[in-house]
Amino acid sequence: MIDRFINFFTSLRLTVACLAFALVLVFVGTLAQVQIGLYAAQSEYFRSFFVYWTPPGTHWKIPFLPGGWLIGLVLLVNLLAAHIKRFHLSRKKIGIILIHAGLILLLGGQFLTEVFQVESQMRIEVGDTKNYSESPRKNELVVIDTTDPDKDKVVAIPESLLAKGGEIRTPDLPFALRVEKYFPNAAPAGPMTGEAVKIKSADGIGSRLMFSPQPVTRSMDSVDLPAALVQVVSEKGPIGEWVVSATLTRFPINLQLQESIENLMPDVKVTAPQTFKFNGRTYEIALRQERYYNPYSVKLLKFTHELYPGTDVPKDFASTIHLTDPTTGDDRDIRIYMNSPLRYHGATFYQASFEQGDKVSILQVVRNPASLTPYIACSLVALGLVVQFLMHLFAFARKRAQQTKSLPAKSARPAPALQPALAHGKGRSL
Amino acid sequence: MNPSPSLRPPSSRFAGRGQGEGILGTMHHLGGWCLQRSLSPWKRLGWRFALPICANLGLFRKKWLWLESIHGICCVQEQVHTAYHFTGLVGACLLAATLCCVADDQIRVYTVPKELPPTQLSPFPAQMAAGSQDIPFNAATVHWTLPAGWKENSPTPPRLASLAITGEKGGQAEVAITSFQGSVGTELINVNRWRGELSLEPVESSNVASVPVTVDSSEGKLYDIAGKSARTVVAEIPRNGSSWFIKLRGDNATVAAAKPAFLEFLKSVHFGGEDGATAGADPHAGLGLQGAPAAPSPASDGPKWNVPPQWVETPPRAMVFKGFEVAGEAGAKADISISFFPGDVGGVLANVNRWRGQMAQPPIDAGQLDGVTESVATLGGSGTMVDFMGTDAKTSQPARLVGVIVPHGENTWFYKLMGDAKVVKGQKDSFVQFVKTVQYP
Repeated sequence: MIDRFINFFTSLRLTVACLAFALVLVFVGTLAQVQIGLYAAQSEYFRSFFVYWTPPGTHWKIPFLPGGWLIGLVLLVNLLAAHIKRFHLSRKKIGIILIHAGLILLLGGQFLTEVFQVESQMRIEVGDTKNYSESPRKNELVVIDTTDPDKDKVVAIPESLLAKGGEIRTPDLPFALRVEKYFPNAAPAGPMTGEAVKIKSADGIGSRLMFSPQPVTRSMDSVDLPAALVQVVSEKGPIGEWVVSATLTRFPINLQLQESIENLMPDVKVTAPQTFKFNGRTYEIALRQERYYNPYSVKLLKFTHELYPGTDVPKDFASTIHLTDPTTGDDRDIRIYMNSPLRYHGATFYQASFEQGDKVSILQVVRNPASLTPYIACSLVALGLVVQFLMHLFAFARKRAQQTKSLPAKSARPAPALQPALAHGKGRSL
Repeated sequence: MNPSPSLRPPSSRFAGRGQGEGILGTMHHLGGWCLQRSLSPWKRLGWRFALPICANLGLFRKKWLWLESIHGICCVQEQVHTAYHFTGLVGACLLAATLCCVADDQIRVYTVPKELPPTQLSPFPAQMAAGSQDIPFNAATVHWTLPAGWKENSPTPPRLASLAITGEKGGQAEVAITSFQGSVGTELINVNRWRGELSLEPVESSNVASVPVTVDSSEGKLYDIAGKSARTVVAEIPRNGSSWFIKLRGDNATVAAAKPAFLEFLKSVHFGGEDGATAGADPHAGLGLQGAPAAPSPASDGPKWNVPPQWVETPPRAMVFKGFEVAGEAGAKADISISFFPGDVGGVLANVNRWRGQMAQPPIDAGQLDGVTESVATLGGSGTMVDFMGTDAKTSQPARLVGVIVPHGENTWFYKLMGDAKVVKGQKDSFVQFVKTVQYP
């Protein structure tokens, strides 16, 4: 039993099968982007364990291909298992070992990147200072205790918990949050929007503005704007209920909404915080983009956007920022431009985009603890290849020298050029 | 599996050291022997799975001796030797993946400094400092008598005047005059902005101190805020819908010395023009500043109508553009609501059925529509009118509803008169007349 198990995971056939599946997956996944868009294709085909097929008219999910994660994981296990089984530490195999160590590191590093990399964006106006970046897609429900005049205590609940519904309790809040309704994507709705389900709350902006569900977006260009009806409940009973929505907090969608309802409801302020009091403390509730705070702050001093003379082709985008870090004492000006990011404390700030008018710069902030692994892995593989090649070369040369020495007279016989290489290639390697 | 386990050392990677030699080898053998003697087969199996996971996660990194004895336990057989690493590897992967999934669902709690509105971060909103075209600050004229020793600099927007003061020992201070439309935030926001410029903590509204001041016969307030090294004395004068700020700011000693002259200076200031924003006499016309634009009146964009005198406007309601109420006898009343939405919002049938729902009436189908509607000619085009009796679904009282749907341009307008049947009957004519004469923008 164990034998078969081990043989399966150490076999070269499994490697070939995995590579073949990977080939098919890349092909099918690339074609799927036409239908479902880049983002959905990435998550359904490559960032998944299985690729599912839903027969038309049903809700079944039938797996028909291994997903990118499964193929990667099996390949990694295969590689490691084969190594463990056949591992011999010998000088002759040092090249092979280095190559394989590089491959293992590459696969492992990619896995770590998938799991731990956090990508976010910092939208910053000229003259503004920011100490946080925001996730472009993920949202969080925040309950902020704003009572303290100097600082805010933020309890951030990920959207995944909100989607589960039910009651959310945490020792950090003196009340519970009951998720009455949750729509993964929603839009403000009028009373005449057909038969759609709508959410409307007793308190806050939701008493004036309703939301109805929308189909979940599949495109890379648009984002889901979730909305939820949240009731805040203390032990003594309900404190109130509020509609929270990313439409109200996400720039510039909130300002567009404000503009569109200005005639209809001139007294409604979309961006005004929804607050309530409980036990003498003031709380604010909102559904906003997930935020990642830094111990340092970034001030945008200048943004420039140059074109090639006489054309509309962009030549250079650059943000001049001032970085202030009270923890390290760093206090300096830095220029971030295309292909020249700022790397600071595990985060990399890239110049990603800007808004019209050159007053707003958008920096992509990437935190990847495994960012160095591809470099190390490739160096290891290259080193391994060089070592392996040189070892063969030296062995061959030595053998050749010996042969010519031992056979000085018999010059008629040609040198067996391939023999040494074959002799060394006996050991099976993956 | 080997049915008679012995103390046969496995041909493990430690074999190179010499089997059974040294302390590691001894521990290795000892571990295997302990396992055979003391543990039941099930427990043995448990150890085989649990320990390698821990070992692979690096929990015992420094305890090599212990690890070695465990290694011995686990590799009493050749096959298990491989399984040991292998199960550990898979286990560690799964455990890591699970941890990551769980970590993603965690509630985070953190404390952050209060986020200041942009006006508090910089002396002026970002776009103002950069001289944007659509700034609501005034390009007005202002006159004054320059005190002795003060020097006039060319002002940069949004400043209307910039005066430099050089104190003793080379100390510097500046007097700046600015004017903005409206009230420019609350007193507290302004004071905290000035405090922020001096690196002072913001204060509560009860701690804001000011003295009255009169500039060019307008009443205002004078604030004096001293920081550690710098000090700000500022007069805020609301005048004809604009806010004027005359601010003296510089190092403590210079400001203290210049304050009497500053107070004299305030008396000499005269704002140009009656409205405080005479564009005609604008000395800064070349600076790309915009004069005070007329505030856009919502009425000028909306429709124009003549509201019958009995109708009383009601507070705003959800999705209702304008609401009115008419009172009848003995507390009876009817509501008039006007709303508009882009597009055809579902068409006439859907909206008639929506209204029928509000009156607890069964929906009708397209064939019946003609029988219950009539056409109304309005200034905005042809409308569709319905009139039916029923029960108000909210109050369960008998009621009557007269509704008109008018598609106009890109929008559809909804006019609804609903309430007590008697009141509705009395108001129907004036309601229809009202709807017919609405002038759309």
